[in-house]
Amino acid sequence: MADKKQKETKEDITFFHPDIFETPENAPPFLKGYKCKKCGKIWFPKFVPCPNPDCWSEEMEVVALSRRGKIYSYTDVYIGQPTMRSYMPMTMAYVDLPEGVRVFSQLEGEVGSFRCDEEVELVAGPVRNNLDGKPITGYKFKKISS
Amino acid sequence: MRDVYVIGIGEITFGMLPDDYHILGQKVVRAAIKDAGISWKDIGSAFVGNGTNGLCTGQRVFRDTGMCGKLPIINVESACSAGAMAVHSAYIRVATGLDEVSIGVGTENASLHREAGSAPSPDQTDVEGFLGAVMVAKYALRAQRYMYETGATLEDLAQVTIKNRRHATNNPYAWPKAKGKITVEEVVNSRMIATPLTLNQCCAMTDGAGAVIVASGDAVKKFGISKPVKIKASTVVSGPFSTGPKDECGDDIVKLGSFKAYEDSGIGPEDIDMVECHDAFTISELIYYEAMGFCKKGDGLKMLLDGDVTHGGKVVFSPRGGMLAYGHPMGASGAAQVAQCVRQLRGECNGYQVEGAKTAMTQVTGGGLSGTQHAACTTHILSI
Repeated sequence: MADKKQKETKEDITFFHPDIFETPENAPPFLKGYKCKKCGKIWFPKFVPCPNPDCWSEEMEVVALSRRGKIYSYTDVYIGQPTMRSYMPMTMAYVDLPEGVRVFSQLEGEVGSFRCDEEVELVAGPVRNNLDGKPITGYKFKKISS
Repeated sequence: MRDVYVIGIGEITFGMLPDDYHILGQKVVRAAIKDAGISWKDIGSAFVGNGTNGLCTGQRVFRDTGMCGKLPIINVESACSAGAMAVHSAYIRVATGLDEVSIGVGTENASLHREAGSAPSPDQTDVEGFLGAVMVAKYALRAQRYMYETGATLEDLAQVTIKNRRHATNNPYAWPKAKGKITVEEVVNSRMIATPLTLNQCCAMTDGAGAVIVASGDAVKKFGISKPVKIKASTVVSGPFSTGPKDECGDDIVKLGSFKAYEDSGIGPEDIDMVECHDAFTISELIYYEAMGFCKKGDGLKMLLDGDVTHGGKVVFSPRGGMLAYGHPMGASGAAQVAQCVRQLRGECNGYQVEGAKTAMTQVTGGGLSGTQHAACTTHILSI
């Protein structure tokens, strides 16, 4: 029992983050938006209750956000915490989704190859290592494969 | 609310300092009391701004001055805005009549409290921080978009560093390593941190402190203060929150804070002679010319390149050299900005004096809170 619990914990920390990111077995991954049933606003990442101060509704519905978005801005980053350094330099970006949500994300692909207003799509991939040096899987965006 | 004046300031030279934050704080407290020409007994309350040095930092500063037990000491934290917010808190205490005299202190030692080479660790609940959104990356995203929208070049951005370091040349309080002449090539070709921001476009994480003593009009008379500087506005705002798109070439909270300060003081940007702003990166100052209303949207770069923001121009931005020449010890900067503005308005800045300066403004934001452009912004307008 104790072993099982420990195993689960180990697995959990290599995935970021079930509340906001889903990787179904036979379908592409997607980000989870939180739609307020009362005011209709879609939030990302997870907010419960709704942060709209005129609302504060507890009833939030999980919706799959669009997998495609547009790069608002990007930067190739050369510094970071020790558990990210093996990934550097890496490109980070704000990606705007059609639902009116701006997502901060790493971009998968060559440093220096991205442009503002370019379209990208969601993928799963390593975003950093945990303290044991194992890669943590999270959401990323990459150029649209034609 | 009654009128409030700055009657004393304490400053030290910024840099990588061997003394911890409480020693730096004590130095500026003693310097400010001496500058005001009052006794420690005249101070009714103290506010201490600090970012990351621990708990009960204010009491730790004042304990060794022997003042603990004699006055309330309140600790103020809002990341980079902490020092200015401590001054604001002292201002409120006097404006509302609770005290005749109060002191706002900002102090920070970053270099003694940092794991070698590490960026600040993210809050585990902050998705952006977890994915690597260090502060410089967030500003780099703004810079990249600014260049995309306006056609500004890396060489244009470099002009902010060149101007601010030149301004600091004769300022004894600026970090000696970061003041004076620097060329476009030295800025552009320095180590890349996050495109397009190179090392020399980023403020250093130095150590420092500043203190500001504020007092009522009655106290000014009682102590015979010769050059009191009036606080025309002292405003604090919090960052508008939204997880949707924002204009990262603009700044909603800085605009909110600046225009509230203009409204509170009845003074507009056209009346302001100098500004100490949160120039943590080159791009920040460019964005703030516009966000603070010193020019129309899209005209910031022109202001810089036309020489409108240096000595002899419309308004001198960062005459002390700004954070690009001081470095930026989180809790200290906001108080040090106010102290330098007071020194300028008194006409005591030999070799870097803004000619005829009568009105000065400080602006310092704080906190990279996801969903806001900054968690906090503190603004002061001062006049003599």
